[in-house]
Amino acid sequence: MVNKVLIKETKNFIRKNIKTYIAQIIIVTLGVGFFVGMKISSLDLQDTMTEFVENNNFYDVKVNLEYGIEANDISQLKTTLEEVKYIEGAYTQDIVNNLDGEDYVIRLHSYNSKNKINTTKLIDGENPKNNNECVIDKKMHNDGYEIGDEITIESDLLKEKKLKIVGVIQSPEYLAIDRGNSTLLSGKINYYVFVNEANVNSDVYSDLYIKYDTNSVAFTEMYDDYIERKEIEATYAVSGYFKDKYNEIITDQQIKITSAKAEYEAEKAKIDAQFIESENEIKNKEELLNDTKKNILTDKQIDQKINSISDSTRNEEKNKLNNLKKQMNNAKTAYDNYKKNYNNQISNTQKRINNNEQRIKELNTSINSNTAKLNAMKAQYNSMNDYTQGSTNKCYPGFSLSSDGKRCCYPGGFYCYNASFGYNGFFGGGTSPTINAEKVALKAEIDQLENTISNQKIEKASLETENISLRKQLTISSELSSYENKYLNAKKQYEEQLEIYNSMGSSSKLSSYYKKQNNELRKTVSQYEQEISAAKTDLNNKKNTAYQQLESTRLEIQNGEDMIKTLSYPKSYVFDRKDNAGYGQFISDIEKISNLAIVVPVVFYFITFFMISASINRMLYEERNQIGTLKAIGIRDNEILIKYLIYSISSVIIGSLIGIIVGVVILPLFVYFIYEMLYEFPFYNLNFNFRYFLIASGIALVVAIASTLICCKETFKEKPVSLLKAKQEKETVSSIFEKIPKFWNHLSLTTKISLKNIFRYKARMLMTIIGIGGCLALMLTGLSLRTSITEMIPTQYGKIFKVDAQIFYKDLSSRESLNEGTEKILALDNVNKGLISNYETYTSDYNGKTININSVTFYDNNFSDFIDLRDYKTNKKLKLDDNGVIISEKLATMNNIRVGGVIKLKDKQQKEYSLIVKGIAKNYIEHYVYMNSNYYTKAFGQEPRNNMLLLKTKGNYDELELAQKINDTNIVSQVLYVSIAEKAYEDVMNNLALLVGVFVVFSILLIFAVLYNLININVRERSKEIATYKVLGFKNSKVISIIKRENIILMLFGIIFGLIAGYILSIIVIKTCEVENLNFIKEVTFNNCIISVIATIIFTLAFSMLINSYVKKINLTESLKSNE
Amino acid sequence: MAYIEFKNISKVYQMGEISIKALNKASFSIEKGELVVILGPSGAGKTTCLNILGGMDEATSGTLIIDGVEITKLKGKDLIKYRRHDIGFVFQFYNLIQNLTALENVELAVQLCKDHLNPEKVLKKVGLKDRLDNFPSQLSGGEQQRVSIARAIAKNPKLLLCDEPTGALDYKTGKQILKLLEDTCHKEGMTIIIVTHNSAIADMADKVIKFKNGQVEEIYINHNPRPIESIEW
Ligand SMILES: Nc1ncnc2c1ncn2[C@@H]1O[C@H](COP(=O)(O)OP(=O)(O)O)[C@@H](O)[C@H]1O
Ligand SMILES: [Mg+2]
Repeated sequence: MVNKVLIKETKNFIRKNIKTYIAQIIIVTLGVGFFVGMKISSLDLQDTMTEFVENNNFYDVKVNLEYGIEANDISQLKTTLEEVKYIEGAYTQDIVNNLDGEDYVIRLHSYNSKNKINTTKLIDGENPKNNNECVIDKKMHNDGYEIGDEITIESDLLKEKKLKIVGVIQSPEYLAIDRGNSTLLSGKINYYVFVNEANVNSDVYSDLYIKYDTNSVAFTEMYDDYIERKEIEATYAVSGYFKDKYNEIITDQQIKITSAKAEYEAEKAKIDAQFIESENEIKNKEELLNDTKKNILTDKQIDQKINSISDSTRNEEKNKLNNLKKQMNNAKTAYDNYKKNYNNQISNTQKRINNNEQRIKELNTSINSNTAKLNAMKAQYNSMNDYTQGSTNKCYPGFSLSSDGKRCCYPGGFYCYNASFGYNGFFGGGTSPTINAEKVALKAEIDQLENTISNQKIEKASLETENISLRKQLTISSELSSYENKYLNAKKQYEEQLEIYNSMGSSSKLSSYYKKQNNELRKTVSQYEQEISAAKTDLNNKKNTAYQQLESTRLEIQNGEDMIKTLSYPKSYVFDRKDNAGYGQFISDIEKISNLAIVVPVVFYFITFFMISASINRMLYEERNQIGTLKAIGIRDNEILIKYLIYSISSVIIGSLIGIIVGVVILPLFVYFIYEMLYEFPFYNLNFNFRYFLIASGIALVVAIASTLICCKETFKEKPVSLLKAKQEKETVSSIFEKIPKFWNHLSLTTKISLKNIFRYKARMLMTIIGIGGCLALMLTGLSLRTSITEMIPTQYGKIFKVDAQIFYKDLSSRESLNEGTEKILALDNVNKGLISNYETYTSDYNGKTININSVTFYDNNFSDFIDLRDYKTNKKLKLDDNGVIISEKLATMNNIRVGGVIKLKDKQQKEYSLIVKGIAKNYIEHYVYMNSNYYTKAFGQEPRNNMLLLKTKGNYDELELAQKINDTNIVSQVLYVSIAEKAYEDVMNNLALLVGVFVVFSILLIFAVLYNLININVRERSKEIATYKVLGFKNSKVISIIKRENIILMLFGIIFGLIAGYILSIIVIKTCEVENLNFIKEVTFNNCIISVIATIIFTLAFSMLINSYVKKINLTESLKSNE
Repeated sequence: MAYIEFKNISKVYQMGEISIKALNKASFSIEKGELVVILGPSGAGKTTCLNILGGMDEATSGTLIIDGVEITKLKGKDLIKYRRHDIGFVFQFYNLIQNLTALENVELAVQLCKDHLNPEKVLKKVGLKDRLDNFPSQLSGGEQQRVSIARAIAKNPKLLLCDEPTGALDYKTGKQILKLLEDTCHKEGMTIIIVTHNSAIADMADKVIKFKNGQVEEIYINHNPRPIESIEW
């Protein structure tokens, strides 16, 4: 039963005490608002980005390919990957582009409206449809490039270089305003631009994007775990795929080259033979010509011949005839012999061809069977992969799946096991130890078999070429025909001689015969002459073309061979979202905001507890009599208690509700506003997270109820009789001062009263001290956090890193060109000095997370002009020796490593190295391990490569210009100015500092509320005492001074308490806000102490003014009326 | 057996090593409908006696029986119930709830019990019909005491206990208050106990109990109680 009149009384009571009530509401508002606000802000930010990233299908994994990838490769690669939702190719290219007279680094992307991954969000205008169109990012748009403008992009990749801007877009690959790094110019990407994919002039995609079919979303631990697995899987799949492809290409090329070579040789031999033949023919003809010429007779010779024909002549002619007949017969036997030989040879060649063909057939069957075997083995290997990856429903080899699919059975069914155990089920779960061994063995077999196949293919090709040349030999030899010709010629001569011999009788007949013969001979001569010259030109022409052709084939072969030599294994780089600059940074930023909400609210709640206790205590004190009366009337304790519970609970509820508005709307909007400097938010999600609200207001409620009950318990225990009397103070404890009579006796009466009062009302004293101290502590904490954050950058980049730029060398094998280039750099105008060193990155495991560690190796101990390493405790300069490393402070504290301990690093191949720690250096940003080259060699088993040049500059210079000059030496892959890294961190820190500003503002508001409340309580609680002083005739000023003095003394105690609590709280808060790769300066500066003390004093004194007006206004009659 | 039996009741206050006997084996009895005046010098134990009667304090020893119920054996909730239903209290300093109006102060008490009287009528009866909505701070001492009496009698208690009801009032106002109590006793037949150190008032009582040093010094019955109007002091 709730007494209605009591409720009414409560209402009136609250109305009367509205000021303290409101102060209390404000305290709750601040606590709830801050906690909910910070938590929800980070949630809101995360939610916005998650929505953007997931809606636009930001890739889970990106593969960057050295030689690109064809569309056809992508679809093949897809079959080797699991759980892939989308897989797509795209083009990206970093270019230095001149826009309106200045150089910018622009990253070009291809846009394809059909793509599902990395879709862009259109902010203004439209997407590019034509080749002469492009869309630009917000930043470029903000820098003055409007839709409709025309820009020229100087990229060899583009068909159309003059592009019209048709829209402004945002890509999930660029969450941050910082566009990420490039190897060009100063290393920062300025803008990104999307062009139509059809405008890209390339057969191969440069990037491959993969989106997996998963429910886990960005920025969650579940996603991180999932994608870590997938990234490894993709790395293996991609590198495996390209290794196979590479081997295929090489084998193909080798086969082509061998056959081309054989062809070349055969062709050359054929051509050479042909030419020799033709030359011989020409020679023969020339001889024939000369012979024929000799045979032409002069008239005299003819007469002589006719006249001199005698018996002897006839005999001569007969002899000649016989000779010719003999010659003819000889020629015939030569011809017959040759023909017989030739036929033999032909049959041999044919046999060889047949043999070769037989071998080719054999090779074919062997290749086929081997390929089948290889495929089977590959399938087995792949399925083995499946088993080891724990996929279910696959049976151990030799076992087969039962028809219902539930069990794996050995043929015959005498041994079965549950198929859901998968491969391992055979072993009763757990990983089979033999699997890996088997897998390795199988892999070796596969490799061997692949080798065999490729060798067989080579052999086959060479056999085929041989056959080609052999077949050419089968065509009829010209030599045979020359033998035949000789025989026919001899036959003709013989027949002619026969005619001469027969016609030897009449002179006229002979003369005309000779003349006719002469004429014929002359004709033959001229014909021969023509033929010879034609044959000569023909031969020359043929020679020219044939040799030209041969030369070009030779060059082709040469090129092919060169290519094989230079063709290196294609590199592919696999990235996940965390490797994306914006995404990775965002994770740590929201963590920072969320962390800020951890410790601070505890303090708010602590103060809320004390404030409510103070208010309730005052109420109970004021209303003792009333409680007694109510009890006397017969009202139950619980009913009386309700009033105080209503008072505290309602203030908490109202405070919580207002806090919700602050926390759900105002703070998140403010945080968006702050982080707008770092990120591009596509939209602003505001969430209401019921859980945080429940936690925040629930705790506030518990605090309120607890403090109310604790305060009421003691009072309610008393009997109504004693309640109706004034509270009996348990013996007035004399203050410690009274025990020092010398001191005590010299005090004025009012001071004595003040001191006595302070110690009499212990609860009030404690509350005031804790209230004032708590606020001071909170303010000091805010200030310390701010200082530690803002001081980190100048300390790291001014005091520790004195170097101005890091220059990374290209992978050069030649030491000379490197030295030469370095000298050139050091000789540049604005370069002061440089230090060659080694830079590498490693990882280390920390609480299941991977942290990145920078390793720097020096060659001697003169590095302190570049990086000043100092002991984290003593600030003494640290030196490197041959026995260990110096690590950065956070790395040591995080892993609990002391000097003499060991730090474990992993390289990219996950190989672990243990290094001995010889020193711990001050360091605030990121993790570092420093060592000298001797220790490096010892620890890593190889000498460090000189891959970094640390540079100190001098004078004023343009950073881009200097970078350009350094780049011109051609030995440099990247120039990184420390100032750019500094700027990036500064941006992050400035944002964090602004957030901390919110915290400071909240704590100042809290101070107002608390002080107001305390003074109000203090004064009201003592209205009777004050009235009595006044009745006794004290002047107002005297009364005020008594009370003020008390407040000032309490304030001083409060300040002492606050400084101690503030120091502790600062360290705790700084530690909780700290993120993994930063080492906040854990220091409470004197300045901050002074500022917070002065502020506290000013606030306290200002609120003490309330006392003045109260003392003056106090109603004597009313205060003294009751019988308290 | 009498309506109220106050038998051998002692009350000892332990103050460190000193023990103060506020009541020392005090005994008396009161009949239903009697108007009793308890007399005695300051410190005699009158308030202590009244507190024990009203169930606001527990006796160290002895028994108190009211209407057949042994009050000294009641504990906790029963004691509250007893206070709630059977007792009306009027204090020297009125003890009104400052944040409630006169009417609300009466309603506050009335809500507790079933057979209560109409608060407005009771206030009218005590002559405050025009001051129903005034807060205590807007009323004079006599008026406040009348609200206090109204609050007590509106509950229609078996026993009305008044601890120096006129102690803080002037002569005339005090007389009005006593008249109100006398009327209540005679007209409603309510048992009323009035504690006072003013022996003149004893004449209006049916029974007078005199306290001294925590003991009952004398009890006598007034066979002809005088109406308060006729008493002068
Ligand atoms: N809470 C208490 N603690 C100690 N002594 C008390 C307490 N209440 C009353 N007394 C003592 O008991 C005695 C009787 O008091 P009381 O009944 O109030 O006297 P009165 O007759 O004036 O009403 C007095 O001597 C008083 O000092
Ligand atoms: Mg008394």
